Amino acid sequence: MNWKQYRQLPEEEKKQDVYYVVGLDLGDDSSCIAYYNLAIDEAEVIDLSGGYGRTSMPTVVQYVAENREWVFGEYAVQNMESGREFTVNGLIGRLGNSEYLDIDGKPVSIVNVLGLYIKELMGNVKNINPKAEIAGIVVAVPPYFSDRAKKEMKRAFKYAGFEKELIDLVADRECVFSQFYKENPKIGHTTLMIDYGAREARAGIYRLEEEKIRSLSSLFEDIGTREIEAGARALFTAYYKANSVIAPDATTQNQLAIFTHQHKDILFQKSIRAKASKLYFNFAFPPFQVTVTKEDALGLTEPFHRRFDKFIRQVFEKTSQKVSLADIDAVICVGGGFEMYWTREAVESLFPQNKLRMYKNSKGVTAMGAATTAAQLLGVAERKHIEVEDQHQLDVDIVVMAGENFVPLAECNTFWWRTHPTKIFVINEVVAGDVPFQILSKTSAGETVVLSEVPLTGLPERPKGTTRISVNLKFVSEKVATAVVSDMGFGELFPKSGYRQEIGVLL
Amino acid sequence: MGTLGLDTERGLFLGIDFGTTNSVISIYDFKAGEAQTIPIDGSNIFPTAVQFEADPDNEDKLSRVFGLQAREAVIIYPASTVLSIKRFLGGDDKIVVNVDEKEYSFLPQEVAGEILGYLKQKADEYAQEELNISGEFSGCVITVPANSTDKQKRMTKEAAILAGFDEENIYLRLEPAASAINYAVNETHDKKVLVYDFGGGTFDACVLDIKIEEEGEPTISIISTFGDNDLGGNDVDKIIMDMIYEEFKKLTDEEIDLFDENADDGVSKRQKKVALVRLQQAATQAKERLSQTKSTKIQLAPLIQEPKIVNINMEITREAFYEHKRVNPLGDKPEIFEKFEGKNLHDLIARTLDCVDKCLEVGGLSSTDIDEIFTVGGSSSLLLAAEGITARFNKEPFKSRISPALSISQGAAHYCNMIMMPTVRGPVMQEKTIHPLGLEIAGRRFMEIVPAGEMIPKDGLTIDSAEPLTTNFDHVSSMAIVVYENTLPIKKENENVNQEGMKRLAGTSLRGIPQNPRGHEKVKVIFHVGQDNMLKVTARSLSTTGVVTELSVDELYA
Repeated sequence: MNWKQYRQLPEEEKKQDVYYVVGLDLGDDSSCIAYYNLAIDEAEVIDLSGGYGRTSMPTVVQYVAENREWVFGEYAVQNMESGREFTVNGLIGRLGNSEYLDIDGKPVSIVNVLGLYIKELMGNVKNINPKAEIAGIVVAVPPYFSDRAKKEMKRAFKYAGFEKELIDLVADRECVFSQFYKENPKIGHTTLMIDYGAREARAGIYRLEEEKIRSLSSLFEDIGTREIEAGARALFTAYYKANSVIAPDATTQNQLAIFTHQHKDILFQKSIRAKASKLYFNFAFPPFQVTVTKEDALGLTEPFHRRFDKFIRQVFEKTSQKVSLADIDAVICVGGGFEMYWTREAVESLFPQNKLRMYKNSKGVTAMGAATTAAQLLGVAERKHIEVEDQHQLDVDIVVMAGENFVPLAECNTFWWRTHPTKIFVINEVVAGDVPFQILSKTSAGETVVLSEVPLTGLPERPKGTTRISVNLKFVSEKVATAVVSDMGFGELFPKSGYRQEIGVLL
Repeated sequence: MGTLGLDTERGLFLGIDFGTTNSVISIYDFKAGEAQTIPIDGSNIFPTAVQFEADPDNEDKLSRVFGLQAREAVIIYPASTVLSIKRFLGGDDKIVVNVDEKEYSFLPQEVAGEILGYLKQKADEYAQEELNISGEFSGCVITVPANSTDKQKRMTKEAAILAGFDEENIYLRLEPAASAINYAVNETHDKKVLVYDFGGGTFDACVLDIKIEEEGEPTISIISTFGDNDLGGNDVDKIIMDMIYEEFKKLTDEEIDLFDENADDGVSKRQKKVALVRLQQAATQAKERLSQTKSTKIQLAPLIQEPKIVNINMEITREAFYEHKRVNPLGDKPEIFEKFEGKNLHDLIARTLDCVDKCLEVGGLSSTDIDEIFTVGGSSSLLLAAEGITARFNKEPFKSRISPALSISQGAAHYCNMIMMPTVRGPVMQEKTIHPLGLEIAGRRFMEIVPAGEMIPKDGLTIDSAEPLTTNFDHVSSMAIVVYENTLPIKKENENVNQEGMKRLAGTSLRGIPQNPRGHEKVKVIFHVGQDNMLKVTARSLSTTGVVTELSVDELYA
């Protein structure tokens, strides 16, 4: 049903057990879904795995051409062996680029694929109650999710048939706070939130103020669980090569991927510290066994442990107000990365136990938070939603006009200190002397303001359409940036000239 | 924060779903007021498997590997790995394993005890590390199939004692009842719920009555139950195994019998064991895939190597899986295979639905009386099962908020809290007798002694036969005491022990009765049912010499 209609229902009717207020955490690696149990005022995670006993579902979609059918989640991962299927991973990180995939010779939009996945995910609500009616959905997204990515996500919900149910996309950290600050919080309460996901580890320091949560610092580090899993796979591949008489082919690579998916956890559990674990490569010919020791496991995780430690200290160095480790009242640990024992050890070595807020289901917390946020926005939860204010996030796109399009140099919602992708332009004019060049800001409503109007001077003279330039925006502080413009050359005809110009941009 | 001592007001309560294929263990976290499943080696589901190997420090001793590692070891070490030990509980077969050419023999409960002991150790670690609670477990509920025999229950309890649990604090409770508790937490309406419990080794249907009391807490009682101890997910796997084995027979011109170790076909015993395990694992995986995809590929290349290489490379469609009729015994004993020969998946699902029908019939209910259907057990995820239920009841079944695979264990942890802390708010399970119990009397008639639906107090329910039994012949010195359970108590008059649903539980002879004319000597029979539904029968001669005999019902004719 339309969430707006649900909000208008009489209070008693809202509490009927057919209505489901849902939160989704769509991750690059796996996704979770939770609902707000109105009877007990608590968010609960929904099982997504049938007999596998897991509360998350791999964000993997697969098309099996022979049967013309789509397969999702764990089944898609397990079904990767035949080589006749098209498997799509990392759906969420690919949003915002109007990407199309080649599926069995046909172009299919990534938005459509995500739509199918969302439909499958939402179907699990019916497992709890076949008569379930969705009253509202909040989706947790990374805080830096661009407006274009958000638009594509909303379109995916439309394809899935949940356009009217979708209340909003809310930054994942805000969702986690909805879950964390369920009791009456104290003004001034300072937290460190660490979200260890597939793509990256994110950490931020936050202080609770009247009516809002202020972000004092926020950083990312590319030590996502996906990278650690790649390390595990490399280790397992090395074992395979050392023990099997058959060289790995495409089928073996898939088998090794599935094997890693199923067995990687053994490397990251505490038990391997006490006793070596055995791994059985039963898919190999001949089947063989390998004993994995504590040293093997530590060899894999220790470099990450060191980087993680350094990363957390950096978060404290880059705060807008001085905050030390001792000032932290609570450390909130969420994300699948905290299912690994070493991450727990890492935070325990930095903070006293009584400040740590570890969740048994660290992967599901964000979805629970999204469900709580949905309930707050629909007025069926006790507390009001508190927003996070972050001065480190851009509130506009920084763009360059190319023809009739705005090409973003830095996107709205991204953190100013991040590396922004370099964009390449072709000048569709004869270049002979100065070339006018504008950098603008653009709000989500479409209003533009010129931030800089410095012409490009010193570009080599070239015919129309043969001048290619790259533009990269680097921020010095949250209000001051430099656009670096370089000549990219034009094939062998016009090699790079060494032209480089820096243009100051003031927000 | 340092480790806390045990809160003396509360305890550590465990729930163990000890399954044929997988086990799940949960702990009741009283601080959070919820049951938490304990992950072992990164997974909530623990394969019920153990592998024995020589202790590297002392070759006369054995060391053990459990769970996922053991299940996977079976391909390389088929002779020293034990899977599906639950199927052996209740039987007399010993478990023989070979480690480095030495043979070791165990009782089934000893092997089950090893696995339960490992689960206990993991629960100990979890309680200390994650919940900051240390101390002995105050109670443990281990679930058993609703239709398990007393001997199965007794052996399960023995296994738990061997695992280090305190005998007095082990509670055996029924699987569907445990899952119902998990389901009924937070329930706000009166309901009649059918639990469709399709596990790895057994099927149980169970109708529960959930009533919301004045205080708002749900009270649960079992109205009826009916099951099939020889029907489980393993039998579904066997349909696919059968399909693969047919392909194997074709490829080998039926010259190789993988199920006969001693057949003179040039294939070593070891190769056969490994091939069978791989066959079984491939079948299980294919079943799981076919619940999502329309077809799947089976690649076992090679399945055997000598005397010739046999590669299995075949495609199985969902349709073929649904329609395939079993041809091969696949190691099943003749009396078991008889039930599956020529049967396909539709027939198997129909058998579960027959159990459901009987369960309703026993409870005096029709399908329209059922408010909700709740599925548990891994095999209940089969699409055909859900379709069958929907067609029968005209409503879709519910799964669990949590995985159908975890709900029994979490319910058991709740159950344990409920037994140990009866004053704490939460759902209440009314322990009642499920089926009528009685004796065979003259003319093969059934004399009901314990009626169904009788409340069982904490110390058990004791009922004497209303009328003493009398001797039927002149000058006999013994009397047969044969105990029956009426699993289909539909006809109320002139019940006969030959009729369908009568289960002979035990029999013995009361010897030493004074030899007198027929009808002169009288024998009193006393039935005692514990809250775990285990039965003890005492027979006492009322004459002055008063001989007494007592039997647990499993002892003679299990």
